[in-house]
Amino acid sequence: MSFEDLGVSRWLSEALAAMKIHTPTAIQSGCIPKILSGHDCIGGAKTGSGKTIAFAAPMLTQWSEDPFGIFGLVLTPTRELALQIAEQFAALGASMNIKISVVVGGEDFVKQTLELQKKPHFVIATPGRLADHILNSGEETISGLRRIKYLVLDEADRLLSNSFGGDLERCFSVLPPSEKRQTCLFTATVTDAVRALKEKPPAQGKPPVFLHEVETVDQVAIPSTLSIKYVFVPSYVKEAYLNSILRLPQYEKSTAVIFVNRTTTAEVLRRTLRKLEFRVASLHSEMPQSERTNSVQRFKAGAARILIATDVASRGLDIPSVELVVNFDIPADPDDFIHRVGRTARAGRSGDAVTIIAEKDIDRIASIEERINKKMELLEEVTDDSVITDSLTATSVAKRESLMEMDKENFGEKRKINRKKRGLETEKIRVVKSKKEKSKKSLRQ
Amino acid sequence: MSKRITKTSAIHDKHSIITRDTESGFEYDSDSESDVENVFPNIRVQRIRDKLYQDEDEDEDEQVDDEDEEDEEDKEDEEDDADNFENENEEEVDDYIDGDGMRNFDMGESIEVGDVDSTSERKNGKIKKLTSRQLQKEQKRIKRTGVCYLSRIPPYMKPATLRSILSRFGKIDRLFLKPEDSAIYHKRVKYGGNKKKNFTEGWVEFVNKKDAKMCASTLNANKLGGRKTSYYYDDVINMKYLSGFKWFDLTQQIAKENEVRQAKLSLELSQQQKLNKTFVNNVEKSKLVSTIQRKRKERDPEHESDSHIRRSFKQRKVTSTRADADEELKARAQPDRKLSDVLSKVF
Repeated sequence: MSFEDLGVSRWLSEALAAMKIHTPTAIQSGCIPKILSGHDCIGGAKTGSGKTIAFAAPMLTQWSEDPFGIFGLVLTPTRELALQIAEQFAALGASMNIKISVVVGGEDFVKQTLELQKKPHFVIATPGRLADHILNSGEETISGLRRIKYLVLDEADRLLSNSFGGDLERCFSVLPPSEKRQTCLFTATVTDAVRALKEKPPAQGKPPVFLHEVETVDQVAIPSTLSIKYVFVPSYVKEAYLNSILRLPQYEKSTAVIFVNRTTTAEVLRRTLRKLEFRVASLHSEMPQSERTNSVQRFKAGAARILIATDVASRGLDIPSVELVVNFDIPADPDDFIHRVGRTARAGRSGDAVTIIAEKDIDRIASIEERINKKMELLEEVTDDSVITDSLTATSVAKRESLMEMDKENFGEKRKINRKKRGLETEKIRVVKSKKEKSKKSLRQ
Repeated sequence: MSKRITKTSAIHDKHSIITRDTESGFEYDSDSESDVENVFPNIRVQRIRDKLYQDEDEDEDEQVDDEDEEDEEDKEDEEDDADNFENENEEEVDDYIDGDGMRNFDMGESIEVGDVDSTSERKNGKIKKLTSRQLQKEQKRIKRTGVCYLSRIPPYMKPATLRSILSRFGKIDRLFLKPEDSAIYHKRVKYGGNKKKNFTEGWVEFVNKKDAKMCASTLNANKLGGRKTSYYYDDVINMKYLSGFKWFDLTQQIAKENEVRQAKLSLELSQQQKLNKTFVNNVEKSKLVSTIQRKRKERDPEHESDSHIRRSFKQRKVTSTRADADEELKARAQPDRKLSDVLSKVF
């Protein structure tokens, strides 16, 4: 089975061959013909299963027959993912002079407007910034979006959640109606939203929605090459244990991703570990976008051994060299845990996941173990004694110092200000509403 | 005022009091505070500072009329200034030595530190204590100085230019201009704007407060003037004499904040040490308990270990977005109105 058998055009299969991709994966061979024949599609796909090509290949094939802009729109929940997809599109379409625009937050608004006005062939976007353009950039900029042929919702379980609702609503307000475009949706979990979509009857005059492994995607277990270990410690010595874990002989040189739940924790850890002379990079939402991109690049290139990240990095980021994932905090959602540990042991490699459990996380761990259907093993190399002798004092001092520094530099101030602004905005709306009601009442009287 | 002052560094406070060093214009980074502290032990600085404060309160606006020594220098200054003013655009701010031996320290914040008669003897890296006479002299000198605040700096005017303009009115000691926000700078440069440094506000210290008052009352809300062809001929400057204000008032707050922070840090560290100790103790205790239990079991295999729960913690919540999950877990994952609107439009 080759890509050409699936209906992918010649130039594209050559481009794929140049990237050393010869045989399609399950999701690719399932989805590509159906999308080419005009079906809408819901794909159940773990990250790393090759789903980017599963939607890129049919889109590019049909685009090359009649290239115009804007042909397709891809929506992703995180900026890094958008950049990653854009890279792949650019690589695939290089021979056809493809024009791609990445519309994500944290980057130059005006530049993006100009790019959109030139009608690129494909737009890869995050919903928030796209909604911003629709609201503020004027008709000339968004007119291209009214004619798109393809809409892709990547990581749909995350994208179709309440936090993106308002932005998506605005985006859909300019997109053509569902009869006039093809929609592909990829998800790693079946949420209520996805289930509702799946069970919806197809629109008139449209072929039924094609489903690929949607129900079975939930059953996908973690790879067998991944060993899952834990340490169980009081929450106030977690940093010291982390230090000891990273200094273990078997992990001393391995590239690691450390996941935390909050941006503040990420920042504290970054500073602490830097003081302890680890080469670290960090990735969380409270960094400027330039630094975020920079961090990912540094980590990919090996300049930083450790990446400290919040859940922005838990999905989709494809960094094959990761050998160790440390869960410094436990996510509330067991599926997030699966996404996180999925950053290692990719494509048949082996990998380790170490989870640091504190006293309040036992319920969460229980639900995770139930979800992955596997018991975690105790990491025996790190003992209380070794932590006390090696890392306890040094780590705690470093942590306190970093906290002090952050206090001095007003970390989190920006977010607070933004919240305040938003809070004020809602209050204003409320005031306006109440005024209107009052005037109505007075009119009635 | 406090917000503005935050940028200046605590070093200059010490610097201003103790080192009046003309010949060996020593340099340091703004980061290497520790070096400076090594050279000037904290205690001594504090002592001198305290003394100064005591005297400061007694007579604030006393006029001091011994400018005789400096009159000659002033004339020279004016000549130099004329030169400076003409070729203002060629001057480099970074590492430039003024006509009368003043040295600029570019500390990322563009601070000029001038010279006054040296009272601290810093020879071969060794410093001596100030004698009481020298101290008196130093106090007198500080009492004589006057500080002006500039709320607006003409666009892209360099500190050196400003210095040369202002020193028409008298001898200037230190001058600090606050550079514009780097974000604004980068934005301007990105869209093809002027690449020069711009400054938003500043402070200037005159050796004699009489000059400072004169300068403020003359220049405030007035055209700069000078030569008709000069770039800044039509620019207006805003200036106010800060009565009863000395240069170290600028830096004092930061020094104080730093001290508070240091104290807080040491407090927190000691707290952390206690926490660490409890952890160590707990570890030992648990070892003890487990050995006891093991031995009991060895003696009597039937014995049930008394593993009753001593303390329970409130557990963090579990959530889920999966459709199969329990209803209570996915309470937050229910699509709201906006999202269901979107869902109806997807296919």
